[in-house]
Amino acid sequence: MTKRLSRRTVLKGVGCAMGLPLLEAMVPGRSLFAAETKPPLRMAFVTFPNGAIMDAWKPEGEGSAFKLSATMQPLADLQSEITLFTGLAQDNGRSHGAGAGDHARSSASLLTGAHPVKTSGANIRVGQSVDQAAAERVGHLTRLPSLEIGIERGRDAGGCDSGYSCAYSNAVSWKDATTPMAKEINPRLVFERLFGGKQQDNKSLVRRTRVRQSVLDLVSQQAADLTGRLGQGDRQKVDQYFTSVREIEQRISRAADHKQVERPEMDLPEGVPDDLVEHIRLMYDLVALALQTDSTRVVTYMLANEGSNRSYKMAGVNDGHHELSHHREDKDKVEQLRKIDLFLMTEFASFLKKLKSTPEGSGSLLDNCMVLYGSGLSDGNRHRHDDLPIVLAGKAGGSIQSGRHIRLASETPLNNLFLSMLDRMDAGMPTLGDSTGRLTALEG
Amino acid sequence: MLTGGTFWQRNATAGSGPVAAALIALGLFGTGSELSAAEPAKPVPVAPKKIEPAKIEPAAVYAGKVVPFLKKHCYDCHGPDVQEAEIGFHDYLDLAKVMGDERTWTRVLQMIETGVMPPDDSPQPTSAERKQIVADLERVLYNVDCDLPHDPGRVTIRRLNRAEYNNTVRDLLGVTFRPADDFPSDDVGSGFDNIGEVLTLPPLLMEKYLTAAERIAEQTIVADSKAFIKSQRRDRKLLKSEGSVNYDEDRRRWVIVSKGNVWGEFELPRGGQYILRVYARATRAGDEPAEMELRLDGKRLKVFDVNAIDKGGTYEFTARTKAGTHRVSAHFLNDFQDPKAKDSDRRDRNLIIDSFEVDGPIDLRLEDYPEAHRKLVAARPGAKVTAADAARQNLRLLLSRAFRRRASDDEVNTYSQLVEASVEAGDSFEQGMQVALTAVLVSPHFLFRMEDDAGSKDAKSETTAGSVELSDFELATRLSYFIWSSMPDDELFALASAGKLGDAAIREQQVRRMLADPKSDALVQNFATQWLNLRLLDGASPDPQAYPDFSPELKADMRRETELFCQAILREDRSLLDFIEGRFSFVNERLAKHYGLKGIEGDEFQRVAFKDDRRTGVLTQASILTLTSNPARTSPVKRGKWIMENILGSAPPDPPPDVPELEATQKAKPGLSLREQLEIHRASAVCASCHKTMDQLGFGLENFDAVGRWREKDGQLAIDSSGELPNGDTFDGPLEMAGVLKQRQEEFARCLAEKMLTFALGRGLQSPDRCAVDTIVEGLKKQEFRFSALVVEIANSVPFTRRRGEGTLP
Repeated sequence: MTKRLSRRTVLKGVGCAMGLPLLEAMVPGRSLFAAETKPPLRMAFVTFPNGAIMDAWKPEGEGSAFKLSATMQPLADLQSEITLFTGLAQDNGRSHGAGAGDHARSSASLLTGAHPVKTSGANIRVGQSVDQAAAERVGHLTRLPSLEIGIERGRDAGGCDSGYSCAYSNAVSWKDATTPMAKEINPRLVFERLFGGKQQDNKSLVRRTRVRQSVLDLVSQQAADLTGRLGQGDRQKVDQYFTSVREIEQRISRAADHKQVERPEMDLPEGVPDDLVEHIRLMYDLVALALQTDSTRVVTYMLANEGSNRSYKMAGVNDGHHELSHHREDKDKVEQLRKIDLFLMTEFASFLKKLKSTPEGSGSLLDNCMVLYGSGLSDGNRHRHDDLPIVLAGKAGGSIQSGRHIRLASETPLNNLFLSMLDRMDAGMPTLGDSTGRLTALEG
Repeated sequence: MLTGGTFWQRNATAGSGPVAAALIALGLFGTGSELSAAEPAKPVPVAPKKIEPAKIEPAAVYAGKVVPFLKKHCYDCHGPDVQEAEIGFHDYLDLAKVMGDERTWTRVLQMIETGVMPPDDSPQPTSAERKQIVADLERVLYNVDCDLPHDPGRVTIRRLNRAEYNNTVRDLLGVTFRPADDFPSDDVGSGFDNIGEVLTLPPLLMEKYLTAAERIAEQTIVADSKAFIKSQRRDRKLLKSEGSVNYDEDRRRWVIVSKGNVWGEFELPRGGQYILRVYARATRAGDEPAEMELRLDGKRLKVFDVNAIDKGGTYEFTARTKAGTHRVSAHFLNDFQDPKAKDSDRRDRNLIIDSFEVDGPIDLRLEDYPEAHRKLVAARPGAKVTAADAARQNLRLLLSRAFRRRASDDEVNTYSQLVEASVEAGDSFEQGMQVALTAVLVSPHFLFRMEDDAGSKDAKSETTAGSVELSDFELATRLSYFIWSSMPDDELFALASAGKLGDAAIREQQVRRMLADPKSDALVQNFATQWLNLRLLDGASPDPQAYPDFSPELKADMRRETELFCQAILREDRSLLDFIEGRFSFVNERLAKHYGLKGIEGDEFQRVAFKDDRRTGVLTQASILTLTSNPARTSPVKRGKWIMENILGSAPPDPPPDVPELEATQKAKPGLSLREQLEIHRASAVCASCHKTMDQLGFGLENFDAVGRWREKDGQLAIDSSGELPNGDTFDGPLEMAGVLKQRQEEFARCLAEKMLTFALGRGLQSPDRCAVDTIVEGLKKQEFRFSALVVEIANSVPFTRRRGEGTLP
């Protein structure tokens, strides 16, 4: 199984400028997985903040005879690849006695189905997220157990939302109930994580492995010695340190098992691109590259932090997103929000097309993916946590009968869908968060 | 830059003054076993707590006085039938329930105290009743007798955040690049990004720590001296020419067409051996190759035949020369033309110069290496010295500084074994030291600021009743990260070694010394920018249609103004009240224009005094005004909220998600001014509870548009910048509003003290901290609210100098 990724693919500055679908171009006539082997399944979660204008989002009709809404128009060519839902809720986004803070709760609960502890400092706690549940079970099969990326740095002053720590708004991926997975926002650094920094010869790679192992051995021993001497809260921090060290140790010792992927050529800017469109597209390209090269099978991508007040000037929107989301039915504001929804959907659709045009096995890369696109709020104006805007793209190796709009009983936990996704990844769990069962409707 | 000369030195003659002497005396310089583990924390006996009476009384006050008041005045909206803002007082049956929800009840107290609740349209308590209920609630909520020893709290060990990491590696090793800029952002809790509980360490960050450590080790310790040789290059317009020479713009190279030369100047750091190199090529004519003479300061070094035609060739010569400016030149010796040659490529012989390079000095000496390298590899293995011994000598001081305490013999041995093992595996000694340094920089003892219970554990029985004093090294560390966001310097380490930092007077002296050090800019960069929310300015994006003059440069100027203003308060030790009423600021030409000020030119910032009735303190700085505005218009609500949160210290809660009243007003009466819309808004009791204060304060700043320019009108409507607060204070315009805020100086001082204490401790405040804040504010009043007084009072406060022992309080 040779991997061919050597074609120079230059993404000069703007990630969109290339004419050819990036991935196909880099794997001429050949898939990473030969036709006779069954390619592995991958999952990705792409999230956006502040909900959506649901009137323009909801499809008409049910089953396979549904009509795409205005916001979904970019998906027109992909209708047979996607599954839409009505009725999914994330109940733990709701207050349940904790008062204001729906934004923080919506992102914290989105992939966990758990209720975050209201705290601005001490005792941050929510629950393990679906992607990390998957990474825990299948992460050892790839060089990176999972990849967490985003566009916005965490807010670094003031509060984020009504007494909730910013950790809840800045992350959707939680390794465990108390460890939010930090995300990488610099495309170049994402690339280096996936494919390494500057090329090194074999001898220096061997030495680096030896050095890293000895360094990590020493410091994990230090952490172990400390544990006995520290108080409870301190111990938790050292445990977290220990776990992270262990994970890197495992990754190093596994590295030998994974074939070295030839480093693809990709021209990336030195820092974070100033241009938002370019930034979003480069990150999508990197997700595609990560999935295609089987560098990881689990990705989360936050298009913005929850409650983000970014403006989308390229879509003709000069006002802040969060500000606008409390539109109080003001027609102009609703229109602006629809523009944002449409812009983000257009970028998502381009990404899906890229996956679809990448051959894999007897089909496409997209066929072997489950890409969930959604927000933890539906109506941002009223902070609704039911009937969430969720698109699931991909067929999960044929186990999802896509091309349908599935109407579920209202208040169906989103985590039921997650359980069914985990089953397909061979990462099945009896329950996750507030799940009450599985979503059998996926099979058709 | 390596600070800490004395602390690095290994012999008494190199160090000077009492600091070095103290270090030597205390064995921090030593090499032997006199270095012991960190000093144990000292258990301090604490007076027995008045458990019984203290617990009964507040419960009685709650049941007997507070509950009846709530029933009479509050139950209509916050009772069994209706729970406005999701607060129902009937849920709080007893004191335990109240104490479990400190947040809500602090808010309740604030609302009643400031007259915001009960709302205007409900029966009001008399002012005597109001005072009484406030006193009762305080009794209930803050049942802490500040005269008795109280809980100093317990700070969770703090991971270095990004700023602290950058500063620490700078001060530890002289690293000038900022490795942590690529780390994921640190989550914010309680308003700051240095809160121990909130700082997590996910695998991604550990990965970054490891690669950063490797990079730092490679750059501070030179293992491959070849790679360390400096190379200077001159090409394109950095070169000059004499004679018949053309510059080919397209190919960016110099063409010597007949007699002439190309030259460049090089600054050489010291006398020694250098490699001079020319990248050149030629075009051909006749039988000979082009001849190039390489000269150094006009003296011939060598003549080369340039046979390279299509691709440039490399022509080099090694020469010994002195320090200083030198001229390297390449001369074309044999011009030739043969216009009739058959081959059109062989008609004109020219010499083409691409670039010059000078490498060196190549005869490296110790002083050419980075200072950190020289210190870290001071001892090297030799005939009688094993690698492990040499490593031990080099590592003892490094470990002590990196771990901010005395490193134990065990630790030094463990690390030197790592060096030894690396050398055995084939590494050079320098590479082995790199490995050890890497392991230092990813150690939990470096990445976390440990406050160790080892001492108190042995004496558990004595400390269960209360708290322990921090060890001297822990105090040194708290001070340095508070004021410098970095590790302690030599003097702090020396005082810690001498056991002197427990003395409040010495601490005060140190605080003043530290504030005078330029490193205290960290307080502006890390404390002030977060307190004032200045960091949020980065994300502000004013509507380009409404504010076409706004630019990224102007935004940077705005931020700089506020930083300089804060710096002035710190450096000149001004009154904290200047944050509100300081009639001066700093502007450059661009910002002056924005403000409508004349006579300021250039990009440099200049200090200006304000004499008009417009600008005062931080409140009216464009940065704050912009970051509290919407992209296309001002937001009195946001501005008022900002003042309540950051000046008055009474943050309002977020609004309920759905506000139908406003929707209705907007539909029914389009075209109202913003002020009128908001006034209608406040007709609702729920909204009014906070907006009564918030909006009024914001109105005081309405003369400033959404990017902080002065204005008299908003579109067609004249600006009304008057306001009235619930307590009856009135004002007209920004200056009068600042005057009202100044009268509430105690609230402001308390707010600032709370924020800075939070930052200094790295934890959110809890009710017993109220006592410390009281003391700090009292101290401030006695010292004219001087900036330094705030820092000194915090450094001497109970929560800063003590820690609750493990397992003593829930």
